[in-house]
Amino acid sequence: MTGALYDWYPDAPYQFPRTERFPVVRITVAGPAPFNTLVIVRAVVPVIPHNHPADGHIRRNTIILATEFSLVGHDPRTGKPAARHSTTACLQMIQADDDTAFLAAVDTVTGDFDEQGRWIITAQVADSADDVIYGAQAYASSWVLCYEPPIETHNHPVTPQQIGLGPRPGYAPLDLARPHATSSGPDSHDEGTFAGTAPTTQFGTRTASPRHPPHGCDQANN
Amino acid sequence: MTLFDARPEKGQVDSCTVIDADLGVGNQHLIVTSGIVKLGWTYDSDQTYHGGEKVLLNVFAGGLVEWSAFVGLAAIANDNSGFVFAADTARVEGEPSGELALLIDDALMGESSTFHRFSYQVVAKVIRTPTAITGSITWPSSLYRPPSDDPRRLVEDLSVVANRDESATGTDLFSPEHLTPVASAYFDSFHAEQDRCVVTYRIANPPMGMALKVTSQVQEHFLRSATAAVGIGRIAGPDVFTLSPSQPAVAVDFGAAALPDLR
Repeated sequence: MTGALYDWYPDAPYQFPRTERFPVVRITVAGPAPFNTLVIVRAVVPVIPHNHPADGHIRRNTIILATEFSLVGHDPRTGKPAARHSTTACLQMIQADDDTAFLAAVDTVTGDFDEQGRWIITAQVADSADDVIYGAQAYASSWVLCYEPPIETHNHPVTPQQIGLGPRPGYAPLDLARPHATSSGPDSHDEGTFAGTAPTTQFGTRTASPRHPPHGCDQANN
Repeated sequence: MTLFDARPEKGQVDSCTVIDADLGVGNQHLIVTSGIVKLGWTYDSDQTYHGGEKVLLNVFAGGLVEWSAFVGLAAIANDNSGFVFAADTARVEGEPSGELALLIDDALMGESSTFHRFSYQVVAKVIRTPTAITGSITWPSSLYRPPSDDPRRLVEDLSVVANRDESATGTDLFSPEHLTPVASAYFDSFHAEQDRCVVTYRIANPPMGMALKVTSQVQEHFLRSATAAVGIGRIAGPDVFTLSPSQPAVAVDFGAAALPDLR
């Protein structure tokens, strides 16, 4: 198999939403110090990285997903912001276009800020199916205790953007639905064993890279 | 119903994370706890099997006010047959110990099917019961008289620590203790009398639901200034105990004294 992406979406029995955006909800809390804000953010985790057809092998991947939650007032020079969180994920879609044995797994999930103050969800996933069109996704949900400067409502009336119902000024909207170019070559996903280090796939970053091959550009069997 | 335990040392729940936010009203706290339970249930039949699971969440509270919980499939596999995978009817209850527990129903069918893992997220509004360990350390004034009556300065002389006690239970007196510090004391008063000195301590908010043992040590400054070799030991209060909503506070007293000269 060579390094081109395989886009199985057009051939899938169910064309699920390719882009699903979630509001970021902020709740003011009294503590524990130094935290003053409880944030709820959700995201879609692709259990299958969408760059291989199913072939009966088990593939394990580390999915690194940038969410729509960025900490207000964070100075990147100060490193990662302090936070506590509770994060989980569960499967919300699984499909195959024919009879098959299958595995779909979100084995672990966690969250953390990056140095830019963006909330990142990291999940260890695994998948397997026979020679069929196969896909799965999971919802991830993070509750994050953090500190954000209080909103001065007498100067700046509350808007949907300020309470997390839309993109914050200065941030371009993200396409979280599909992977960008992977940090490891597609061939590295093809070991099909439990051994070795799982490859890492990053989603939701703002790297300007091609998202998908044209429809029908299936070079995966080359 | 199968029982699972979210305590990390049990290894039964992955990605277990908890936050506890103070809502600022009447000791009410918002708890969010999440995890992925390693169910490991394999089944080979075309008849749907209905099961139930209980997860001890390792979160303790004096009262459960409101809750909302969901469960979902996290890892499933099937060997090319019809199948059922289901996790539903999540509910949260308080155990007699004050620990919160998640109960779910589940179902499985397939030839064969494996329900490897399910995930959960519980949001609960609870009443927090403050916990504390308090007590005193007493020693003869002739042994050592601190240079200052400021109790905060006594950290140079003495320490008191609450430890998680994971020592093996049994009759072997020579098995080593396995203690892990979980909270330290601060000294809140000091009184020097004619024949004795007394310092009181407080350990604020030690954890519930685990075996605790309080230990005290004499620090180098005290040892160097004392008129004799010094020993310290517990003189009142329980040796090992577990805090709970029904027993949120415990008192343990220590005494320091001159050791006999064995030369």
